[in-house]
Amino acid sequence: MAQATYTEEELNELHPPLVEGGKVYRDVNDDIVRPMDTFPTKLWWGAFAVAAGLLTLLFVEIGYLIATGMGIVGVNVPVSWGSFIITFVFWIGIGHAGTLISAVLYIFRQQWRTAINRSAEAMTIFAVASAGIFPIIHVGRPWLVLLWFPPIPNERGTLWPNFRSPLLWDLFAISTYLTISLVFWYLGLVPDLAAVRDRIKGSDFWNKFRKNAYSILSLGWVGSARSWSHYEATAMILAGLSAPLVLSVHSIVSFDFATSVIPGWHTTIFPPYFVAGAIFSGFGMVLTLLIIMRELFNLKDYITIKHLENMAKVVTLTGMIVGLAYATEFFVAWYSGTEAEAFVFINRAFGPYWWSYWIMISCNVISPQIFWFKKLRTNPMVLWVVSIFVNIGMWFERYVIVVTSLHRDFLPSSWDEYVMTIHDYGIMLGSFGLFFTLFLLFCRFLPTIAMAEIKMVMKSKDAAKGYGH
Amino acid sequence: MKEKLDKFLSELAPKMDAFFEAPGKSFFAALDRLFEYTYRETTKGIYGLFDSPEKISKAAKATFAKGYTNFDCLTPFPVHGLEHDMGLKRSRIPWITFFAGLTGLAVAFGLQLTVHEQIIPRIFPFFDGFPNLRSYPLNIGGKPTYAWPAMVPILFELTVLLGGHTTVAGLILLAKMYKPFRKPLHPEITNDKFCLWVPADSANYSEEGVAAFMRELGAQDITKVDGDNQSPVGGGAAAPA
Repeated sequence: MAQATYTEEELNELHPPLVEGGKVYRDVNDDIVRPMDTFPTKLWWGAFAVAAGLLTLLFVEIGYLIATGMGIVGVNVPVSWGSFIITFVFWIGIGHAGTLISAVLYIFRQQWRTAINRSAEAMTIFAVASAGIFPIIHVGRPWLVLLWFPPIPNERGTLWPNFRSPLLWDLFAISTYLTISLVFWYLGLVPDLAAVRDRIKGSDFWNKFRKNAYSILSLGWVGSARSWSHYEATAMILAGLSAPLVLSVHSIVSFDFATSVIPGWHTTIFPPYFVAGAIFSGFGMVLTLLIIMRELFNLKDYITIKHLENMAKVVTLTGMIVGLAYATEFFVAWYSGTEAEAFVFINRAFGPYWWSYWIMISCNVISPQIFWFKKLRTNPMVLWVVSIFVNIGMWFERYVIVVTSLHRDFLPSSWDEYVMTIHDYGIMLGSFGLFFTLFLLFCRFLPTIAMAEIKMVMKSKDAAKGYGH
Repeated sequence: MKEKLDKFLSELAPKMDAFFEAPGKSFFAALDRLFEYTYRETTKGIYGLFDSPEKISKAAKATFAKGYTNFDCLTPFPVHGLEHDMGLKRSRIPWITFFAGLTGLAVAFGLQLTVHEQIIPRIFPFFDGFPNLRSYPLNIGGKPTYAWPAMVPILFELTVLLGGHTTVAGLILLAKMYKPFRKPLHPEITNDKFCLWVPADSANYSEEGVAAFMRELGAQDITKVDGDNQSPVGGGAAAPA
């Protein structure tokens, strides 16, 4: 029989508070805006110097690439897709966790998402921005892209975009994804930017400048219930649109491979397999960033062990889905009786790139299995190390898919090996520079936790027993 | 001569203002009718502060029951059911998404059809002589050039693109988020205070009446606002430091 009334302690046990440390509404703005009000620490400057250095490397490398030509990187025939496409798919995958947390968990009313959605969405946008560089530089002469993409009459006759090419679908999917994520993220920021604006008191030049800047950014938000009503409806609509969008984006990225006739790419399981892998790698990167962020900015009462544990569970689940996909590919290669397919998969595991395959298996399938132990999945140190393994493993997954499928062509005379040159490494590291520079700037200038949303899941002092509204 | 010109110009200015304001005004009046309510820009009235979402919900209900109209509640986060307590209906913004999404779908369909089918030369035979306006029908495995399943990804993406961005544009219009230097009533409203605002154009508005009503509700910091000037109305509960 259900108990009619509960004591405060029983309720806390049944439904533990999402924000720890006995915080009230007033503490939220103080705690979260503090890093924005103070001068950056030496640690931040150090990290920023490294990230900005890598970003400079990216610019230099891209300049060199465009000036010299694609010959400086390792792609050849038959491996015509190299580190650029590998890193492109890697970053797009990273981006998926943000939208998943902000949209899918919003629709399912998972209230724990409020503490992590802002930084995860920021990560999404920065990851998609990093990804976007690669297809553009891979075409060699990027300024010509402007002429290929729109269906405008041109002097080359009937040379129009082919709307039946997955590469064109990709362009539409990624631009939609980037802009919708950006707008959704910015919309969430508006009330918090207004809160930052209202906190600024000083009348010296710097504070006046900041006040004006945050006034413009917050679009004159005053928190009217009339506005909130439309705002909430819009947030729900955008979440509803983003949820299928996030699934479509990596499905379409997987079509780039799956609609070809290359053994190892021509598989029907690619869309769900890529989406699961994307969520897996995205949560890996969220863990990598948040474990450091909560430590540095002292946000442990908001991003609690419970949050990290939930994310570890998602990582374990999606890691197993990815493992199942690896096994299914092998099974189908044998069961289909297709010689070429069987050759590719045996070559994948035991051929010249066997090491990349086994790095992928051990990082993606084996390492998350330690999260079956509660002690390990609630230990931030262990979580951080495994999240790094997940990042490495997912980069190698794309390496395995791209390189091992291509380097053995149908004609043995065309067989070749793929070796990344120093410029491949430079541009790949440079993209990390872009990502981390943007993320570090985000930590300084914007509220890293959705303050308005976190207040919604905190207990009001006048509320009847229980949590929520 | 100069006086005549000055007189003409001084008369012209308000006429021109009225001329250019009229479409804007009727546009916003139409918006108000279509979407039931939008953010109301008011500069005269009285506000009082509360310190919990439950209190502002109670106050909103009482204000609505008392017959004040056009009033507003300003809160640091969305309080569930507050628009209902204020006597406002659900937001109609999803209609914008619906129609914008349909437009996106139609645009995507038209775009792909135009590129892969001989649409332009058929509709405008004049263009037939321009080879660069001919379409791009590809024969892929003998499949028909009109193969709709291949259109689905772009149909979906453009539906989402137009639907999402138009909804946000609609929100910016309805919540009037295009005036960045709007002055907030009180800096703590975005922190932890919940504000009840009764503007001077509310029905039954009288300074004493509203102030007495707010005192009765237990509001703190009851303040009269006239443009940029704020003057406290005595008698409300003192705000805790």
